[in-house]
Amino acid sequence: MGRDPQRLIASALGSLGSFLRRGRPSRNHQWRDLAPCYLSVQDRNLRIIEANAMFRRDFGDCIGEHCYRAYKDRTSPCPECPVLKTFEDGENHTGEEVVITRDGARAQVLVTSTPFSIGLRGRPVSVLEMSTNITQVKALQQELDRSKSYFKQLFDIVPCYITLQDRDFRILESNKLFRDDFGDRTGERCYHAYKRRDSVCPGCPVQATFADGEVHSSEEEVITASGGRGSMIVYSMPVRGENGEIVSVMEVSTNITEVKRLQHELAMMGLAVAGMAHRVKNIVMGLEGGIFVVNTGMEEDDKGQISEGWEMVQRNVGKISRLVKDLLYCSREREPVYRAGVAPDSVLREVHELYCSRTEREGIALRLELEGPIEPGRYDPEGIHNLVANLVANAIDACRFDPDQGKEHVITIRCFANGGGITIQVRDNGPGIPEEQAERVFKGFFSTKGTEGTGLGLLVVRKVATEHGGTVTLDTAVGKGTTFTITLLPCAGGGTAVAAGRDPPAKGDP
Amino acid sequence: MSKRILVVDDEADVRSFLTAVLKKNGYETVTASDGRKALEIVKEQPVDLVTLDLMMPNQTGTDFYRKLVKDDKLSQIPVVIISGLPGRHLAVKEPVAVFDKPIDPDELMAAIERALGEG
Repeated sequence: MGRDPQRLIASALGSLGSFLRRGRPSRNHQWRDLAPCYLSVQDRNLRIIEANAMFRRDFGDCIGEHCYRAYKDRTSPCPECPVLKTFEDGENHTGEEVVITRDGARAQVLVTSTPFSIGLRGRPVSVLEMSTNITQVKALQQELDRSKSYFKQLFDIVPCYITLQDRDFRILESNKLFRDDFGDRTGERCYHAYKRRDSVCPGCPVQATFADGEVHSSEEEVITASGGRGSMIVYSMPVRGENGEIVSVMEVSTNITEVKRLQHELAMMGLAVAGMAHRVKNIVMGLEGGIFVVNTGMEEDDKGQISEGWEMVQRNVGKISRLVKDLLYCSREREPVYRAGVAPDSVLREVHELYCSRTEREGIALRLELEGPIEPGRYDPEGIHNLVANLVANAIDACRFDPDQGKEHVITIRCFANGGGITIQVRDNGPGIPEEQAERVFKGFFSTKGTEGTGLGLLVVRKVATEHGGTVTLDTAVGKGTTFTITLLPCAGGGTAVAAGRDPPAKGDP
Repeated sequence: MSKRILVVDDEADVRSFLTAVLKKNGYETVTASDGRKALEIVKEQPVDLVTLDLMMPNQTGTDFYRKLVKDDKLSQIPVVIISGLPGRHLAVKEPVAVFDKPIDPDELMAAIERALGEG
């Protein structure tokens, strides 16, 4: 029982004592007997002078008996007896005791004592003791405590991140798993705690729940306290007050990083097998063609044909080599290798140089635009090289197959600093990608079947970007061209880092 | 006078291969890297047969084939499909032969000769 109810009871008892002392005897009797508690008046020896009806019903007619005998069948006063304390200092006192009724039942009582009659020296001559049966209240209290503890345990052991948020997205409460992975963020705004953002996330489910009181969900990318990244499926549900108003929103986030990774890998595997078969067929045909042309040249003693056939063989061996490399990128075989102090602009210069003569032959201008200082960071240089090379190869294909061959084709590789990371853009003014195809470009072996790309290129691009905690977006307009925009963040942590976002953030990677 | 065959494929090496095989067998060849260019060619010059890839940028082989068979002047040109997409159907009209890449040059030539009434 809390202190406030005790104070209330003590105060009520004080008033009752005053009333009983002042009132008329006949009326006193009536009030005493109506009171839903045990009332007794005791002398200095704790002998019961008076007792109300309820007391007599449960403890017998104990007038003249010691209080401790009547209540507990004891032979000496109880330790911490409030009545004795009142005799000592003339003040009200309270305590909790367990008493035994005359039929043997045990009851928990809240005891309060107050001076009843005062002697000549201002000290109590008798004390009024009121004992309220709180057995049921205690049982309810214990039940409530058990429930609280049970729910608290559930709150903490569920394998989800749970937060309770107010309308300003401030975290009011969080469960243990959340605190373990994101730290104690009580009072902080959700979007900052989960994503280090300074403003509410687009499509925030918590905001939607505050607006309409419904359950909402979304998929979000989050950053743990240790810098690990992961995917979450987030559900928000309203927590309502007594009048049905939404007082807060509970947000439950389940880590689906591993599921997403498996899903993606499975999809990639299926696509890779089908796509690879298709791609290999063309390469094999190119190889067979080369051999056929070489053989024909040899039969006809035509060095020109032999040379032409041999070039076909070489080209197609090169294609197989690139295909295998791209496949490795899309598989788990190739883990990214992050190195400190990687200058992304140097990587882009390499790619630019690599494709310069190729584009020149095709009559395509290849430009490199490096804007402002681009800070070196912890990146996977080989990954970035492949990412940009694939985008440039795709852009070359786009320009080569542009129906508008009168156009002066330009491919631009652009890079600029973006927050703590970088943004890379590869833009071409080729034919663009029709809307219905644009949605499929990141699916493996989506292909306009150009001769430069392997059909896996954009999977490589997306994989490398994801490993750097970045994104890939596509902006395209038919007849005008295509721009791929990639954001990359330097990888935190040391050593040969594990790909960000691949391990569940609960593990605290990388 | 030798017969002229249009080779349609976006892969340059496949075009070179087919051209070499056809030339060795006495055919004249003309090539196109997509369906759009192929349609231009069949409208501009006489073509006795078309070898057609299906999956190409700009205009797919399927689109080209549909346009060809719907054009009264061109619908009689026999078409041999050479594709990496097995089992792909061309609902409008059955081609004279369908080959899954990679091809056997002898089988291809046999089919072409049959289609041109030379077999």
